[in-house]
Amino acid sequence: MSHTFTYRIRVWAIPSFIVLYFCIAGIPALFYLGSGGEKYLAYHFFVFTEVPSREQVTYAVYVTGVKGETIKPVQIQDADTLLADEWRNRPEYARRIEEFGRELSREVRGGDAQHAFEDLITVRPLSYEIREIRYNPIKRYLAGEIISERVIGSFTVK
Amino acid sequence: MLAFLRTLNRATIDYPRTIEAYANDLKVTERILQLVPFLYFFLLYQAFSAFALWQRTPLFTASQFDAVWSVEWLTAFPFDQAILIATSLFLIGTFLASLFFVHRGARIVAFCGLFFYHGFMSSFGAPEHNLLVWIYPLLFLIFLPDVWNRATDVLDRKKVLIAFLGAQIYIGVIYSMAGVSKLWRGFEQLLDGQANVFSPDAFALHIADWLPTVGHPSLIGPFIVEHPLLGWPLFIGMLYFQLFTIYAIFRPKLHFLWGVFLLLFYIFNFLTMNIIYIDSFFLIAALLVYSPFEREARLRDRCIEMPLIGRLVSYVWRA
Repeated sequence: MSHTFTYRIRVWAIPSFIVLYFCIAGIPALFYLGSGGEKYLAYHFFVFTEVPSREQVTYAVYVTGVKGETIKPVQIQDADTLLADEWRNRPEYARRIEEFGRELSREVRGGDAQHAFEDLITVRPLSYEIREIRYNPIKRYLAGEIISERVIGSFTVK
Repeated sequence: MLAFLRTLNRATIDYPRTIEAYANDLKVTERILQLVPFLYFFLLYQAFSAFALWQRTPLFTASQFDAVWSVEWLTAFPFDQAILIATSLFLIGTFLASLFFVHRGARIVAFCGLFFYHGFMSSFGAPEHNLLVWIYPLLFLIFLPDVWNRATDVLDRKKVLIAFLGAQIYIGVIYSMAGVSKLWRGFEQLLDGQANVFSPDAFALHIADWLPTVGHPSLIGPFIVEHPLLGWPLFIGMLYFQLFTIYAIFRPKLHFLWGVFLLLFYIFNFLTMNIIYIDSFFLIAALLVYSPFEREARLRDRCIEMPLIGRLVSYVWRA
């Protein structure tokens, strides 16, 4: 049986493709997993790679509005953004929270969180309280149960 | 494990011989050639939906546009025009390929249309997950010889088989990579004493963590969270099927089984976590469930080929 040169190239192109694809996309992504590197390589294969911990930490911002009522707590996913050096500079921190709230309200998919941020920006905030909440995702989902909640900072807007 | 590695090695090394064998079966080539227009037609449908969606309500704004390298050239145009160009290329390319799939030129245009549209959709801060899986299969389809309107010889049929196998193997690589990454991280979490992919409540933890972020309850997600043990076999099964997809690709009798289980994986993804991947769903159906290879095989013969548990299945089935 005769084989043309292009046929032979085609046959071996596939195994070469597998090896190259895995080396370029797979191996670096495995090493960079969790550090953000996978975003640029093969992110789509590596979703839900990590099983969520049974004890998780989240941060909520409780805002008191201009009329004195307490607005629904706003869950902050990206705690690092909020708890960085800005914490020591309160006016700057307030601005960061508002910016973060607006940014998240554009991206957030959940209806409740969306409304919470609408409240946050339509009512002039008077004070903020940041709380650290520890929870088991399953227990919180089923019964709203949390392990612990503590205030880690608060301030009043001047 | 060694036996498995030996089998995998044999399967991959035998792959040129597999092509030789199937090249003599006219039916296989015919089935592949019949499948091709449907692949392009599905993409045409997706392109039309995308075009209509963008024209009605832009999904993103100009300020969010951060072009990836493949569509850097689109920044030369105002954002409205960039949308029109990207969606039109996708629509025109897939329209041409749906009608003139017998010509390689049309298939090249379709590939370019998808490539640029996907690049455009990935230019808003995150990769576009849905259409991504179609890029390489479309690239491989370009290499199909234009043989729809004439009789084929053995060499033609081999070329058809190689192009189609390329698309199937790509699917195998990406799912197995997803499986390997889950296993890898699973061992890391296990060693750290954390909940991991082998934990009985792993699936329930995923659901309980994910559902509040999407804000909509799923149909059976809350039930699985309430009864975590029910989710355990589903999760381990998902890991097994993802991990061995590349193995299954080199075992044609397994294509159908793997296709069905991967479809179930997507269905359960939706039922439990409200995640929809229509594009991957269709691709799996086309390439694996309707795989042109070994369609007449019996279910028992398919099951016996399954990695790690094939012998057990054979023993149980015989009994």
